[in-house]
Amino acid sequence: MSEVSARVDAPTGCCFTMALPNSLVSIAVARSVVRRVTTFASDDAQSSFLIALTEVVGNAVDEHVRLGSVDPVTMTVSYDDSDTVSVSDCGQGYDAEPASVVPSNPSQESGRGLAIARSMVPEMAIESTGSGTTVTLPLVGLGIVR
Amino acid sequence: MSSDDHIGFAFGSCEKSIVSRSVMAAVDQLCAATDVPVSLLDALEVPLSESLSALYPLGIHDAKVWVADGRLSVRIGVATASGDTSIDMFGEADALIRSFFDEIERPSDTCIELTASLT
Repeated sequence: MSEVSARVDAPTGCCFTMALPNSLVSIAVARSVVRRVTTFASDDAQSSFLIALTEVVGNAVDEHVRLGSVDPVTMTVSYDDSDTVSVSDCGQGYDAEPASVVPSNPSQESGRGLAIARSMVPEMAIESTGSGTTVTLPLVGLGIVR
Repeated sequence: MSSDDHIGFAFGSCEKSIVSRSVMAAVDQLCAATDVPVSLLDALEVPLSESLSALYPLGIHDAKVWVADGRLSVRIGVATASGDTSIDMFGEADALIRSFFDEIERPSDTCIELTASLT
């Protein structure tokens, strides 16, 4: 098993998984990879999806930096049955209910990332536990991975 | 960007174009973060794409890209053992690939590491 395979689960089917470093370059890499492998329905669809992806990857990287984690953030692009992009971190998780993904204090400078992402991709799904969070962004209606 | 910033890939049953485009996108962004000239980014696209195309029939299952000390490295893991020499691995594309990647190493029978100067 190679070093890369040891760091992420071996994917099966039409998909690939990326291990991203815990730095801001990951946002640019994630956006660039998704843009290169996806045909979007329109420029607006591309913008909406990439804004959501930016917020989700940024949140994951921030969480790893905050915790001092050496694990990579992972991004999986899947195009088997449905086309999705999933971003996973190994953070402490959070309450993923929609009402809880906006800051309680309107003047708070951070904490709006998931609300912004959800407004761009309403079908976004969040699975969060005390050992990590996976945010899945469906491409349905926005584009296809080809 | 720190030299620890590397991007890893693990591929399922992906088409050659998906493998090639995803790795190229990561290389583009890693190089851009280190202020590599755009002309050099354009120049590396063809040899990198050719190397991935040549290795694809061996079953590319993972890849890792990183930039350190002004050099770009791409490590590619394949399912089937590659040939002993670069011409065995890359065939007609060998000269083109070697014109950009000045180091081609095989850490193991199923791993090929390409390195190129970015200066």
